Order: sequence, then C-alpha cells, then structure tokens
Amino acid sequence: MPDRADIVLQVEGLTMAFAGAPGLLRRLAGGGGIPVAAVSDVSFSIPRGETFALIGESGAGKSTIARCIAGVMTPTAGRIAIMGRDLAAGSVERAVRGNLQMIFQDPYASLNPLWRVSSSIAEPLSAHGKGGQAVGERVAEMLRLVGLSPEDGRKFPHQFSGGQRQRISIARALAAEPALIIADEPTSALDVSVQAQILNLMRDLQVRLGLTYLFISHNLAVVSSMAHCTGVLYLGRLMEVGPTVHLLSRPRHPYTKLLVDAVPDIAAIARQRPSPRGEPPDPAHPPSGCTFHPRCPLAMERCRHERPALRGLDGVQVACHRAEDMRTATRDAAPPTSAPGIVAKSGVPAFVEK
Amino acid sequence: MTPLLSVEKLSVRVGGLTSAATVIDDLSFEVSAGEVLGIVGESGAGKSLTGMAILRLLDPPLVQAAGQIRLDGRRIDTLSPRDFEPLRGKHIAAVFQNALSSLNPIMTIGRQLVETIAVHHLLSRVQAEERAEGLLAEVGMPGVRARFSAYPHQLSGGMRQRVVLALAFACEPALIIADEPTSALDVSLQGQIVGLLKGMSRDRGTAVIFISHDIGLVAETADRVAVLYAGRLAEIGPVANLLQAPRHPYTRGLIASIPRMDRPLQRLAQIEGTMPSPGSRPSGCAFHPRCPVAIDRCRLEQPPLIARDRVRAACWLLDPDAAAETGTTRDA
Amino acid sequence: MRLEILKAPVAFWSALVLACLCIAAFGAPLLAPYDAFDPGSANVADARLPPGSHGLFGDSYPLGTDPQGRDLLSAMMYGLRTSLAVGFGSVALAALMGVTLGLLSGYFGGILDAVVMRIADIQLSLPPILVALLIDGVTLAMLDRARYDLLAVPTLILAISTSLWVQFARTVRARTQIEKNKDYVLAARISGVGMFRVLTAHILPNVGVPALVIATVNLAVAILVEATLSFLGVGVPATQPSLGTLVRIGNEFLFSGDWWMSILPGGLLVAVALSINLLGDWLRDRLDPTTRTP
Repeated sequence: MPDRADIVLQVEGLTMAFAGAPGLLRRLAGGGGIPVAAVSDVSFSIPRGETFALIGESGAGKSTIARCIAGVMTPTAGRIAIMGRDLAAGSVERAVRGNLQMIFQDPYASLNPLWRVSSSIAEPLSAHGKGGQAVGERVAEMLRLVGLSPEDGRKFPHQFSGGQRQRISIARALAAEPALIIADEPTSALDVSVQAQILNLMRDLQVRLGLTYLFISHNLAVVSSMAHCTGVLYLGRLMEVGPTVHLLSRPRHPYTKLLVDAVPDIAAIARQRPSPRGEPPDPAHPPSGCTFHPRCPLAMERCRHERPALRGLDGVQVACHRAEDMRTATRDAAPPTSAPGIVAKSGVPAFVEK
Repeated sequence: MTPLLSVEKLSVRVGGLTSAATVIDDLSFEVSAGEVLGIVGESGAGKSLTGMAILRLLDPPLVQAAGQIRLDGRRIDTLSPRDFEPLRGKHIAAVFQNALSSLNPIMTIGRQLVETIAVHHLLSRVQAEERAEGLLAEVGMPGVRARFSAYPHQLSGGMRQRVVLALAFACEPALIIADEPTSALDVSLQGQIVGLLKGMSRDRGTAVIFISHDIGLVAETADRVAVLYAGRLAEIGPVANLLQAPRHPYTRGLIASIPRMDRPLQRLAQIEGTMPSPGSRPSGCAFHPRCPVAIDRCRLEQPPLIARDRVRAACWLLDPDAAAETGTTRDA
Repeated sequence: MRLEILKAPVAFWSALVLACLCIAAFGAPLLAPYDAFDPGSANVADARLPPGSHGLFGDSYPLGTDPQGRDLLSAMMYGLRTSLAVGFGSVALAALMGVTLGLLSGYFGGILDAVVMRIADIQLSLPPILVALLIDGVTLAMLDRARYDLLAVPTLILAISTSLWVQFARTVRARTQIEKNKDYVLAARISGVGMFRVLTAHILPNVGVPALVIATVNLAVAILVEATLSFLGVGVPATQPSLGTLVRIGNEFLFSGDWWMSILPGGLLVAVALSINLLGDWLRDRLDPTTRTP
C-alpha cells in the first residue's frame, strides 16, 4: 500500500448528475455552455511519479472528470484531494493554486493566439505576481526542456506546428512545478510520428522530474505506452480499474475486451475481428441495471436489473456479474514483454535495419 | 488487362498571388477492379488531395498542373465539369469523414436514398424503395422502414455513416473513394464501418481507395497500400509485404512509432523533425533531412520508385549502384 | 497596414478626403474665415447671398450666406465639427457600453445575461430616432433653455449611443460565449488568473475585432442620426448649428431658388458618410477575414 503522503490525487465517489430539464428562467437565459456528460461514483488514486489513464469513448465522462478535478466544474457529490488537501466545492483560483496543470487536446486552441509564447508559458507564474528576471529564465529553461529554443519564446503560436504547440503547452504546464498534470487527449489531434515524439517527451520528463500524470484518452494503444494503471469508463462509471498490463492481457470486463479487440493491429493483416454489437448509448437515456448490458455478449437476466458494484478480482477492480467467466472467455494473452516501471531508452531509432 | 483507374504523373499545385507550391508531385498508381488500395500518410502528405483530384473536386487555387487520370482507359481529368457529372455517383462514388455534411440536412434519409436510386437506375418509385430498404438492411441499420423518415441530425454518427455508405453503394459504382470514413467515430464503431465497407465492396466487386492516417485500419482493409510523403509516393505494394517488411525508411519509422499494446510502457521509436510543408520541400529526396540512413545522393537527386520484393519504394538505398557508389551513410 | 492602404485607391481617397474634412472641422476656429457660432459675426443684411458674393461691407462669402447672414463656409466647418464630434462620441460611448455588457453577459451567463439581452431586445425594437427624440425631449423638459444648450452635445451623444450599443453587445456576447470555452482560457483559470484579467487580457482582445468593424459601420449612422435630429429641430441648438440644422434652415428657401443653403451642407454630409463607409469597408475586409469578398 503506497504511503498516504505519496498519493498525489485521491478521488472518491465523484459524481456529476445531469442538470435535468432546464427551468423557464434558465431557458430564457440561454445556453452557451458545453454539454455535460454524467459521471457516477468514480474513485481512484494516483501515487507520485506514476501515470493513471482514464479511457473511454465519447460520452463516457472523461472530460467531465478532468474538469471537476481541475476545479472548473463543481461535482454534485464526491471528494477530491490533491496532495492530501481537499478540493472543497469552490472556485478554481482558490483550489488549485500552483498545484495542478492541464495539457489539452487541441493544439490550436490551447494557446492565446494574440500572446507571445513566452507570455503563455510564464502565465502560471505571472498569475501569482511573480515576474522579472527569474521568470524569464524559467521560461527559457522550460523551452529547452521540451526541445525548443529560448528564442522561440518571442514568436506567436501560429508560427508553430501542431506538435510544437503541444510542446509549448507542456512547457506552460511545467512552469510552476505542479504536483499533478492532467493530460486530456494530448496527442489525439497529432500525426502518428509527432505523437511518438510528444509521448516520449512526456515520459522522459516524468522520469526526470518525477511528474504525476492523469492521462485521458480514447486510444488504448497510446494508453498502453504511457500508463501504469488504467480505469475504463463507460457512461460515467468505472467498469474496470487496475494495472494497465492486466487490463490489456487479461481483461475481466466485457467492455474492456471490446476496446482491446477494437484496436487496429498492424501485425494482424486482414484479420477478422469479433464485431461489437450495437451503438454507443445515448447518455440521456442510459440502460437499466448494468449500462453495458445491451451490447454485452455475456449479458444475462441479472445484468438487466442489478447494477454490478466494483469488486476486486485477479488484481483489478471490476464491475461485472460475470467477471469470473471472462477468465475463460478470453484466452489470456501471453504476458507482455516489459519490465514494470518505465524503461527509458536512448534516442536511437530502433526501426533501422541494416 | 487495363486497370480500372490509372493515375499517371499527377501533379497538383496551389497557386497564390505571391507564391505557388506543389502539393502533389509526379504521383502514379493504379487500381484494379475490385481491389482495395489504401493510401496512408500524415497531415499534409496530400492523400485527401489525391482523392479530390480524382473526383475533380479541386477548387482554385488548387489546380491539376500535370498528369493524366484514366477510368477504364478513358481520360477523366480533361472532362469538363458537365461531362464529368454523370460519372460522379454512378461510376465513382465518395465517402467522406463528416457524414453530417455529406447528407442533405433537410431531406429524410429515405428520400435521399430513394431519389438517388431512382435517378441513377431509372426505376419506379416502389422498386427504388425496395432497393433502398435492402441497402439499409445491408448496412446494418436497425428498424429499417422506420428510419426512412428520419432526418440526418436525428441519427447518431455511426448510423449516419452507414447511410452514407448505403448512398455510395446505391448506384453500384465501379470505384469508391473513402476519405477518412471513420476518423470521426468512436473506436468501437470504426471496425464495424470499415468491415461493412470491405464486405459490401467484396460482394459487388467494387474497387475502393481507402484514404486514412490510421495504418492499422488500412492494414485490416486494404489489399495494397501506398504511402505518401510530402506529396510524393514513398512506397507502394501488397499490404502484407509493405507492413511487415517495409523498404522505405519513412514507412519503417512510421510503423515503428505506433504504440503497440504488446509492448506497454516502452519508449516509442520516433522520427525527428516534421514533414516539410509544400512550399519548403528540401532538395533531392524530401525525407532526407529526417532519414537516419541518408546518403549523399539522397540530398542531390529525387529517387525513382525502385522495385524490391514485390514492393516499390522511392529510396536510393534500394539502388545497388547508388548505395555502393558512396560508401558514406549518415549513421543512425 | 498603413502602407497597404496605398494599394486600394478607393480606400486611399476616402481616407484622404476624411482626413481633410477632419482637419477642416476640428481646425475650424483657426481656419474658418468667420466664427460661425458667434452671433455677432452674422450680418443680417448679408443674408441669403449666393456663393462667391461679397457683402455690403466687403466681406467675401465663398459659399454664400444662410438666412441669418452667416458665412456658409464657416458654418459648414463648425457644423461639421459638431457632427463629427457627436458621431465619434456616440460610437465610442456605445462601444464602451456594448462591449462591456457583451463581455459580462457572455462570460457569466445566467440572470445577468437574461436581463441584459432582454433589455437589448426591447431596445432594438425601438427606432433610433424615436429613442433619441425621447431622451432629448425629456432632457429639454427637465432643464431650462440655457443649461440645455450647454449640455446639448453630450445629451445627443448619450441619446444616439443608447440605440447603438446593442449591436456591439450582441456580437461581443456571441464571440465571448465561444471564446470562454477555449482551452487557453481554461489554462489561464487553472493557473489561477483572476476573472478580471481573464476577461481583459485573454477574451477581450480576441473578441474585440468585430467591435471595431461595427464601430466603423455605425459612425456614419450616428452622424446621419444627429443630422436628422437637428433637421427635426431637436438636436443641437440653433445658435450652434450642425450640418443638419443648416439643411433645415436652408430648406425653406430651396424652391425659391436659393439652393446653396441646403444643398451644400447636405452634400458635405453625403461626402462624410460616403468616405466613412468606403474606408470602413476596406478596414472591415482587412480586419475580419470572415467577411472578405473573394
């Protein structure tokens, strides 16, 4: 059991309910906000220096959880603690001062287009009144850390490519030495080769600086390369949580297996994948009982009425009445070829054959 | 046997008042009847533009500067827009990424399907409706008849894309160009849609050009794969050969940089730098500044496509003379 | 951008004309032959003289005189000054009110947004002239003549800006609603940047450009509204005529052949409005890529 002081993020029972039909006054006032996916009873923790991934498809609630943790949204229920300190429902400014930063999905919207890059990077520091020489040096240091040059600080975002902008976002996230970095689909908008650069950069920085990441993604392969532990979200609930290698090689929840099977595999040319049934559900009308049952190949009568609770099984937490049957339903794959923990190789491209 | 589609030395330029750049350069490939050709590449490589060029959807300032495109031996790139119209839909159909903008938002999907079928096949309304029902069932739309009166925005993204597929196949075209058909969909749907595309084209003998940045999806769907880099063809060949033993350093690097689930928590191989934009292509081989095994000749001269083990790759290292000539290789 | 204006002849000439007019207007006390606002300079004996005439005492009137014997050229210059001042002033005030309200209601939403937008909707359904008339009339009724004359221009500015602010507010509100959800705003909030700074340093610069565009469009509108009000007699006082007043005064004599007294000030109004609009078109195309004509 990791020491309590070593837990950077502790989330317990996080719940965000749908607002419901808006009242007349609110409808007159109009919207203008982004739709909120519901989240129910999500709990997990992240020890220092590790990466925890939240994986799910659209509508699963990943962004909602990220925003609640960041303090931008107020959850309906639940407890969030960063470095042991409770984030009581309240404003962003009070709750997360200096402790938390975020990297976003869209490299073209995450930097103010009218600001010089150095101003954007310095913002976490300048927001608390720091300025002058020390900040300038820190900005230059951050730029070097992410593989750019200090002169780039004077340029504007539109002068950079998508991958470079993500590097700048990472530099901004690191500037104030946060305890936790939330990475919300940081490479989903990038090309594969650029993605590799960014993921490697994030991993190298984690080793070097002892960073802690909450990594949100819909891509299981990306998650597998970055995360020590993973939680699988479906319609706002955790279906399975545990070490990533377990989830990938021997999933205990049918939805996890569906996601694993859905990853296109280059090595399996023209393979016949088991075709998942049905469509992703409508978040406004979730199915009864276990929300996954309409699409589940193992669904039985009980699944329709009784929602399964998370329970421990084979080293993971799983919410499924038939998790034991998954042992035989999936032929557990051979254990993957990695050592636990992060292996940081040098920069030699391994793909060259002579 | 003449190939169904042949593209020869296609060049597309984007012209501006002050600058012009070549976005597709000297591209040649063929598609045989009934085969699935995958075109992969990263953003800016020119893969979507290739599809646009074939469909004659290039708007100024984009213009085809050179080359020929033939369908069934007949040149189609020189046809006037009016002469090309009858081809679109009946001989060449398209499936794009954003289904919502591919469908008419103010027409029910039933009406769009029925009208398309009736016009192209000169059937009576009843016959067209029957065929439309059959198509919708084939693409796996639940509750077919009820769906006829649905508007596009009432359907989910996955269902919309199924409708688009149905529309594309409705006219029984010889060739379908699918440009990132699943990029906007969830992972669990991508396999379904791609499987449908492959199955339906197999059943009808339709050729497909499958354009995607997702090499894994292409691997499962295509018979042959073409890799584009900076507007030029880097490598082309049967999917198994190309993906398991790629000959071009870019293809190798691309494949190696994809995260793999059987190697968790490991550092990914990466290619340094970024793909050059059309206006700033380097001399010689466009990949040479990023290539770990580039030789002098790569900097000076663009390599032609050289055949090796059933694939053709544009790389000097495959030319026995060139590789032996210089002994210097820039080390990995 | 300053150099690029040379490439567009229409915009260039408009800017030149406008610049000359501004100099003439605001330099009127120095440049005009007579002080048109000084009742003493008007010589009733010289009333209604055609352009190019000379008065009884040898004064030359290049553009003629008005029914009260004022030199028309000077009157036009002073009148232009009033028109431009009211025009710029009301647009500036409307922009200030509209942008601020738009930012606040777009960012915070809720009750504030509802209230502001309903007021805006009501405002829009009232014609600008009527609103201005109303405010002007109320002020006239509340103050005695002398104080009203003093406050005439500020009252006019307030009255006209009341009907113009809505456009600013709506556009800025719409753009703010989009911008506030962008990631860089979120990043700033997470970094602990205060609300005021988020609004002024991040959102305002990114939503402000359309406000500039609206301002140029409405400048001509404001000038013409003022002219209309003065023409109707409820604008500036008659002792400090604006172009609209001159048109009104000269109108009575139009059909007796003394055309210059209304046509010349009217023509100047047209020239001002036209050059502002042409310059504004060019500015709009340069600043807002979404309205660019291919």
